[in-house]
Amino acid sequence: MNHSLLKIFFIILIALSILNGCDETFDLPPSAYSGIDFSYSDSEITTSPTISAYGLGIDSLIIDSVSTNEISVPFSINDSSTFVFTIDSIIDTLTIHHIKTLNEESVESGFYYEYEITSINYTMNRIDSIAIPDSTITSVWNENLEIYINNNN
Amino acid sequence: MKILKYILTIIISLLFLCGTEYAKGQQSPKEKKPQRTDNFIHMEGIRIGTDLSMPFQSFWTKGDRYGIEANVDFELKPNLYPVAEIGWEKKKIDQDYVKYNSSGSYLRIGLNYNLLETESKKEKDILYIGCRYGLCYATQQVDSYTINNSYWNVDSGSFPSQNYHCQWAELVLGLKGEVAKNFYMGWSIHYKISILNGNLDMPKASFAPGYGNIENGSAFDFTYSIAYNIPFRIGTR
Repeated sequence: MNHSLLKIFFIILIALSILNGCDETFDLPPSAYSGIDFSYSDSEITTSPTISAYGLGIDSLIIDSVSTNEISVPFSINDSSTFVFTIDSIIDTLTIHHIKTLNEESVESGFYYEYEITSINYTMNRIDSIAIPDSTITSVWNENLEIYINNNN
Repeated sequence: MKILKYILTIIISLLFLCGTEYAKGQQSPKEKKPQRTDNFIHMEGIRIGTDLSMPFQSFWTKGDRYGIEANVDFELKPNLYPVAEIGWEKKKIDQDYVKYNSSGSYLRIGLNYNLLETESKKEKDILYIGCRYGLCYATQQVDSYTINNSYWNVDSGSFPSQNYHCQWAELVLGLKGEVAKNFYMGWSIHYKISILNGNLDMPKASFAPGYGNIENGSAFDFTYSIAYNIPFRIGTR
C-alpha cells in the first residue's frame, strides 16, 4: 500500500514540477504615478478639457489630446520633473520638485521609488491655480494635484 | 537547461520506481506471520538519508534554487522518531529588474509519529505526521536592481552583502517505505510557518535556506528522500 502511495506522490511531483517550471515569470516592480485632476475654476463649466502632456526633454507624449479630467504622470529620478501641458490648445508648464524614497516590493519583483512633493512652479496661461491635496506619491493611485483652469480663451 | 533538468529528474525518478518494483519482486514469499505482543513497527539503530529533491528545487521555486541535505532519525519509543536534518541551500534570481543571490546553512530538528500498525515484524513502512523547528544562517546580496521608469531615465543600484538568520516551525506529513533490506525511500510534505524572518530593513530577507521564500509568512515544501538504516540496538528495548 505504501509503495502505491510512493508512486502517487511521484506522479504529483512530476505534475507540479512541470506546471511550476513553466511559470518562470516575475512580476514587474510597481511604479508610483502622480494623479492630477483638472477642473475649471468656473464651477458652472462641467465639460472636460482636452489635454496633451509630455515631460520636458522627452520625445514621447504621456497623453495626446484626450478629453479628460484626470491623468497620471510619472516622475523623474532627479529632484524635479517638468511637464508641458496643452490644455484646450494653450500651453502651460508645470515643474514639480520632489524627494524620492527607494521602496522594495519584493526581491522577486524589484524596487521602485515613491515621492514626496516639496514645491511646484507653473505658468499661468491656462492654469489658474494648483492645489496639492496629497503630496505623497505611492504605487497606489491617488489625487495628488488639483489643477484649476481658467476659462479665458 | 530547464528541459535537461526535467529529463534528468524524470529519468532518475523512473529508475527509482523501477528499483522499487524490482526490490518488491526480489522479496521472498511471505513466511508465516510471527506472533506479536503488539502491532508496533520497529526500527533498530539509526536511519541516515539524504533529500534527493534538493538539486531540483527550482522546478517549483522561482529562480534557481538548489542544495544538499542529510537527515537522520531513530526510534526513541514505539512510533516516535526524533529527526535531525541539516543542509545547505542557494538561490539565485536573475531577471530584468533584479539580480539576487542568497545562500546558507540550516538545521531542522523535530519528531515524527508513525500512524501505521502491522502484524508482521518485517513490515517497516511508516506513514507519519511530525513537527520541526528550523533555523538557518544565510547571506544575501542584491547584485543589481533597476527601477522600472520607462518614461524618464532608468535608475539602478545594488545592495551589499547582508548576514541574517531565520527561524520557523513546520508540520510534516510523510511516508517511508523499505524498498530493499534496510533501504528506504519516502516523501514528505512540509507546511512551514515563519517565526523570525531576518529582521532586515532593505532589502528584506527574501530566501531562507531550508524554508524557501521567507517573505511569505508560510510556505509549502516537499521532499523525496532515500535513507539507509544502520541496524543496532539502542538501550534495552
